[in-house]
Amino acid sequence: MTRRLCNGWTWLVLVLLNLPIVIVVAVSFTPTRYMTFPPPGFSLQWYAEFLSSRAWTAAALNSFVVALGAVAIATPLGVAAAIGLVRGRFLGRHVVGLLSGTPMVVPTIVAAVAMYFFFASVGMVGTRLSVILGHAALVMPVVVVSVTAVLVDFDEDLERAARNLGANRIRTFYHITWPLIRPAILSGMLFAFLMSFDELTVALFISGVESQTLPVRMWSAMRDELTPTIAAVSTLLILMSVVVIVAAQLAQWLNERKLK
Amino acid sequence: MSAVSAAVVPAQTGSAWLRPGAGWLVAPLVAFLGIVYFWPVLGLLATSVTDPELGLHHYQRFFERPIFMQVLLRTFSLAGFVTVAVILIGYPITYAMRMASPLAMKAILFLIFLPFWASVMVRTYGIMVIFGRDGIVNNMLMSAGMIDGPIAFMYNTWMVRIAMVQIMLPFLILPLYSVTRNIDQSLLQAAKGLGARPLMVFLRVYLPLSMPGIIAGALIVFVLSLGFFITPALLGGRQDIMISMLILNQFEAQLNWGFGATLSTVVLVVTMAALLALGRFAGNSTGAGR
Repeated sequence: MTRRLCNGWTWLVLVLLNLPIVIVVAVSFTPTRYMTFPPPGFSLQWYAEFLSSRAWTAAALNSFVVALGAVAIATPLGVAAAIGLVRGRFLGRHVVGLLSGTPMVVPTIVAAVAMYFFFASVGMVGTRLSVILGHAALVMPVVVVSVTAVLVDFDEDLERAARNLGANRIRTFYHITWPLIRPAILSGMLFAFLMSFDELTVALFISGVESQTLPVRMWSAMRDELTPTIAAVSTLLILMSVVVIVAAQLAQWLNERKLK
Repeated sequence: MSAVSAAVVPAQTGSAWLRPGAGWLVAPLVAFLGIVYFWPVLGLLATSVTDPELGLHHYQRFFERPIFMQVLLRTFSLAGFVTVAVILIGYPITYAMRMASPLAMKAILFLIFLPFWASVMVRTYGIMVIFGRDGIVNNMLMSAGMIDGPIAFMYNTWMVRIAMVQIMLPFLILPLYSVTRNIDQSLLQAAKGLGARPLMVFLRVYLPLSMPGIIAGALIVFVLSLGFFITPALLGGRQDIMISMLILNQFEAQLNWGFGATLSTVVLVVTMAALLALGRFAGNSTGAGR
């Protein structure tokens, strides 16, 4: 009885949770200027509006560049740090562990304001690079946590066996360790990418008019006037996220098949 | 904070791959975060007492004018409300997830993750589309002739609450589920076998074992809600101003950098205090659970 109640509750909540998303996607195809559900027809005009708008496409491009840049920085630093935290033995290891997780724990607005002052002091406010650096700091813990989770459970006997059979450190790493931590690195990277792409707060403070990211553009649009163009952008965002996640799952699945 | 540390730094020792220098691998990250994150935060604290001139006048202003404490309290109470609501709504869901078939699980996970992937802005926009002045509900009601002019669903506290609960829900379900899925079914069955009624089994066995998950999820949701401004800014009215919006306002309109820095410092301190307090509470309750 309890089970049935919980099940019913679960489906109800999940449907309500996703209803806004469904409606946004539906509205993005409306042929009218008004937001009605279901939409009275089917039109791609708002997507055309998005693609033909220099402001919107520039913002989308900025988001891509920033996310790629942030991941490019966060991944090597994060992976290295994860290995160092799990395998290393040094004074202050726990402190470093805490510190590496801080960007996840401190409210983003604090980081945004702090970074604004910092980049202002070096004259970098409004540049794309500053947003890349800021986002790199924010998403780095994601990579660290992802890789650490795998490394902690890592069966080091596998490595010991390889070493006993004569492989040197590099070969051991390449053939044993790397294939097994690769999925964790990949999922960390993808999650970091999405996190950066969707990030508003830091980007709002640090980016300028030319380096505006997509969320910032959406933010201005949403405070201004609610046109269905925002719905079109949103739908594209959802699509992109789903594609990225599915690609990650596919890669993982392929990876597992190869290992068998 | 210890939960974060525990997540990142394991307790085990010994490694066949251990290099004497493996610890140095953390250096690049520490350097990068030091420059781009920690140094700016220190600068923030400094700015709050040096801009435009040295002194604690910003803090004085914060504590003297009642409006600022009001905003802080309001932010706190919203975060608290959202946290409690999310726990109440999400807990039965994780219980259902335990019993779900693999296929149902896939569906459930997809439906939980989809909002996650859709980004906060998209979901807030969705609520605006539904409840806004030009939104779906109003358009439907007006074309049906039931109302003359649009109802202001938005720009009130309850809308903000509902929206934030909706947005924060996945952040609770995921950590809570990862804890409860490890609860051994045989423990529950043993309790039942010893004669305990279902309610007792729940209160004495299941609930205590799920506590770490509740605490972890609650921490995440509470901290996220404290610094959140997107949803309250877009959906709230003038009586719903949160401290994060106040901060944004200092930079956009008031151009009062020093005070903005002060408000940010207050958010930081308050969040750290909340984390410590909740962490202490977590330590006590999980200790009693063992």
